[in-house]
Amino acid sequence: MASRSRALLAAAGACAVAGSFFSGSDFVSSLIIWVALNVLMTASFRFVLLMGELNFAMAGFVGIGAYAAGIATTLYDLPLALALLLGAAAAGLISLVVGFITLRAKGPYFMLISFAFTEVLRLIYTRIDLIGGNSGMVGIFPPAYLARYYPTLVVLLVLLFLFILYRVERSDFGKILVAIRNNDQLVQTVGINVHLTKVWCLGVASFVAGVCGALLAHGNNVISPGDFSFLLAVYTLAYLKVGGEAHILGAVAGAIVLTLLAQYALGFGAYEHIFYGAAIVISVILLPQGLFGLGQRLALARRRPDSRD
Amino acid sequence: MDIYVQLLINSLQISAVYVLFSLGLTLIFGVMRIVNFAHGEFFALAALLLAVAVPWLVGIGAPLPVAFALAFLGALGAVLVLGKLLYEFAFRRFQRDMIGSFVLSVGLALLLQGVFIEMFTGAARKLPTLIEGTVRILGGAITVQRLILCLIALLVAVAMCWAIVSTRLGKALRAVAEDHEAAMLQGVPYRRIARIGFLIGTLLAAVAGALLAPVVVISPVIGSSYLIKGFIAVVIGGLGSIPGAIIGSILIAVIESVGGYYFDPSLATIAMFVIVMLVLLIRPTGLMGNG
Amino acid sequence: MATEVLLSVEGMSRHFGGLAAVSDLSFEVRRGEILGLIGPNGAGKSTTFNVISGFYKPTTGRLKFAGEDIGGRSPQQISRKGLVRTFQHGSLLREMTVYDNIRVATVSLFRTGSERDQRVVETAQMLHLSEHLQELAGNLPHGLQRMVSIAIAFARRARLLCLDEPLTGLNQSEVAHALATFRRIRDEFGCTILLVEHNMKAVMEICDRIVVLEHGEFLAEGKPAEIAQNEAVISAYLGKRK
Repeated sequence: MASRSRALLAAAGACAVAGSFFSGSDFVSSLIIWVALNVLMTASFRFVLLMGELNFAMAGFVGIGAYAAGIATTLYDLPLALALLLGAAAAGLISLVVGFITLRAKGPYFMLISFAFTEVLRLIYTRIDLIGGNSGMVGIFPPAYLARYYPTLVVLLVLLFLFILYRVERSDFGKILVAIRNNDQLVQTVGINVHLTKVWCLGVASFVAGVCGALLAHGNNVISPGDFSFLLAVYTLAYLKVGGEAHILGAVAGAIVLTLLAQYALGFGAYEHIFYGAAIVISVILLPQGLFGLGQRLALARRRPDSRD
Repeated sequence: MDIYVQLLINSLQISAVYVLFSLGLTLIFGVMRIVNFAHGEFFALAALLLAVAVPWLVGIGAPLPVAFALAFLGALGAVLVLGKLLYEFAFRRFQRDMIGSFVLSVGLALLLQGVFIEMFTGAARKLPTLIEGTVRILGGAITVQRLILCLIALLVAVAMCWAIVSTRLGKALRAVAEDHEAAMLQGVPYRRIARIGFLIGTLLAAVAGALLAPVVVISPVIGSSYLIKGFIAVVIGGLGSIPGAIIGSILIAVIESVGGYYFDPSLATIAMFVIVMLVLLIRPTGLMGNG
Repeated sequence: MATEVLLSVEGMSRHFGGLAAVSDLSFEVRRGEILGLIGPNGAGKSTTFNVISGFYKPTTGRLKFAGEDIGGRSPQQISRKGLVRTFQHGSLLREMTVYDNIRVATVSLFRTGSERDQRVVETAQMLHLSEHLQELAGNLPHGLQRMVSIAIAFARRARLLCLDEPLTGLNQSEVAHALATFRRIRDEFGCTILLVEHNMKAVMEICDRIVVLEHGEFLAEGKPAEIAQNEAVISAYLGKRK
């Protein structure tokens, strides 16, 4: 990446951290946490798309992270760092099992089952009274000394994992994922176990989703099964489509733009469905490269008068 | 003994709707290699239209059977029109693009569901009973309406299987499903067949919805719950396989009726999921899917 | 020339439902040779390739590569043993650069990035692709795309390279260049090459031996000159022209 872009990004990241530090009201704090987590969830969803799979199970793994961390904090009084780790690990490990079974065959099997997986998890949560059943779990708080700086912690962790996902994407592992999406038979002929690679990809993405869930739990302080329905993954899809899939910054842009737009433009209810549904349909049909792609094209157009060809 | 017969009857009756629904899903996947997430919304629309039209028609003086007949045909027609529109302006460009078409269909489903919630104001509806009465078969009971539902579904499923095997259209559908390039080389009009296949699949969803409306309370979000079970059914049976869709649907219907009786509906759904995972473990492409 | 057998196919059959795509096929590939596998359309060449490279399990018969049984192994396992294949259509990664195309092939061979990079650079040099490394493979002209496909396979420095119709769509000079490349790969690196091709002239020119299939069965085997005069082979080809 060009050094100027790198500098700009670093500055943007620093602003985000600083902004979260000085956020005054509860509302702004919540919004910052919500936007930041949407960004990371979208990046996680996008990571699985690198290998050509739509991870609608993501909401389920966010939920696993949330509940595992919630249990760690409320039932076992574990420190926050450990709760976050347990949430992420639980999500990651379970994803390896689910992925191993469902990613084996070519075709939409993973895609379809991942919807069912999210729903079934939701049903399981409603049946377990230990975690509050249908009413959910309450009282999930970060330690008192952190409470004021929680938004900053969230933003820092989000930036950290965004960076990690970006580096993995650029590594040889990431290239293999894209190769699998391009031509998985060819990848088999060069000595790579495509199935296991796909499972690991899901594992990484789900670990990150688990982190999001754990952070969400401590941010909202209350979680319930309905928070982790497949709608969560569908909204993430909308963020990604609007922002653009080609680059991780597309995920960031889409999540920020659409979350803020939705926040200020609507209440709840049916209009939310229509809004996100329309966002996806319009992006797919009219703007397949998303905002990021649009930005790239504008930048190219502006540079053209001075270009050599 | 009686309880088993009753459970069997309940299973058959539940499976009727699932079979029609899944046949549509698997047929569309077969000819176009896409999964239409909005399939559930076609189903829901037919059910909702029937649920709204019948009371309205009765209200303006139509006799009940006439109201049902008109509403039934109207619902099917409306869904077909919607299906045709979505095919022409959306799905046609994305066929064979599994990811792109699925994403699009998810967006459409969300959009449609939002519209339904607005239009049909979220209140659940119950239709007046067309044909009263209960029938006893071998010790189990079933209402006449549900029996008719089963019989119609059975008829449609059998007709579909026969048509797929014997008619020219059916053979063309199978050829395209098996190898669309080879089919094209042999002169099969691929685009037309794909469109017909899509519309037949959509029609099946509509019929399922319209048949369900008289026997169940219909809400605007009913599409999603049937869709998830439909997905489980076609994955168990193997995507693109018609016998597979039927087997998968019957299996989940049995689990739902047995599980619902001995335990409760949510546990039944969990059990279905476990079953599909087990099936995928042993046969990654479903029971009758080709590897 | 060494007569050590690198790949031996013994009594191999592959059935699809009731149809036998290949029946009771036996032949061997000797180390260091360029062997051509030819036959009219539908003769079973692609199926044979798919069985050898692990994409299909053989219904019956045995496959031995360097003395080891490979029948039924996965493509990935067979590739790691030193048998690499290309595909007839789209044997490359269109949305990735030429560099990345070749790099992906090196990942399972080396642990460090610099070793992988070195192999990519060497392979590109060998196949005259060095100036194109940063271009997207999908944007290259057809002849260069074929070279990239060969580069991906060759990057493995495989003992046996199985090339599936690598000359399709190439013009005369591109064919000549490809054939010269095959010779160099064999002469300088000791790779054995198994070639499925329809371009008869090229096959006659480059192959040390030829195996002919018809209707999924073994028809004939021998040096190019012998095959060119073989009555059965001639009628198999002429008979197919309707």
